[in-house]
Amino acid sequence: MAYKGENVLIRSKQGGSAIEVASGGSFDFLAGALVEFAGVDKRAALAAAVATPVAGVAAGYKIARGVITPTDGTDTVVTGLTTVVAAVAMLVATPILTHMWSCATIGNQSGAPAAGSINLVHRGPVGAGDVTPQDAASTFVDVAWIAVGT
Amino acid sequence: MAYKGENVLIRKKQGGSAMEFASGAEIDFLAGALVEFAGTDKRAALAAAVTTPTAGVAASYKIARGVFTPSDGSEDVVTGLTTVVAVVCNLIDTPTLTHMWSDATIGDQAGAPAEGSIRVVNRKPTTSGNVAPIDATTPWVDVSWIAIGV
Repeated sequence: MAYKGENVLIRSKQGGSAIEVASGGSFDFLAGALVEFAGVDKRAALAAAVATPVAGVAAGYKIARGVITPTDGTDTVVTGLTTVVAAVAMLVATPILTHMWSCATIGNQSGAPAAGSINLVHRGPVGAGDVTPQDAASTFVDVAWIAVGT
Repeated sequence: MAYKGENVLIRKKQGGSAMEFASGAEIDFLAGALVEFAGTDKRAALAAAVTTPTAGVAASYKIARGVFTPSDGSEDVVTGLTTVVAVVCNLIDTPTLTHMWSDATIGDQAGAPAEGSIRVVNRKPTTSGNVAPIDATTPWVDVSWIAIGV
């Protein structure tokens, strides 16, 4: 069904099923006006979403982060994401001989570790005179991680 | 040009170029209604955008990420971003005596490395008993990176 008033910028479809806004037309929601979807006001959510949003180079990315105190040479951490596509980690304080390195891996996201989790690998040198890495051991340094996923 | 019906909450500008929603007005998109921009339904995109959106401290940030197997002590990686403003990386597995550290830099984004690329530096200790870093060599540990840019 055609739109009424094709010569105006905002026009209603005959029968009232749609409103079309042509180039140059505008909607101005003055202070106090509501923008609702199925009865839920989305003004705050829309304002937050358009305030310098971060986009992924692919669609649907989310960010999760956390800090853990390790307990083993490898710890699995549930990120809160459905699937993780990238993760990085670092020590949050001085590396020490019992815990000198940590890194993060997303693994296969299908059991090693489970989808949505990451593995954090912690290593320390064999000794002060031998930097060969081995599993880190207590005393541990806290580890911060950032994960990107969906 | 003035709005018609200033005593109503939703009013269309004379000539039809704009609609104004005064305080107390509502526009409610019921289930099944479309929200289109230039003929493309944006309901899913809007819903995704307002689900715990991530904001940048500056506008237009994007996130890119990847994993690669190094082949040299320093190498440039094309991120897919136009310009990179920040990057972090880590090994995704146990550091070894042939590849113990990797770090990432955005450089000058004007040739060293090229705009949109990052430079990843890979190092190892001279020997197990001499931790002085030198260029890493094969066998390599894969490196995961996360970049922010525009």
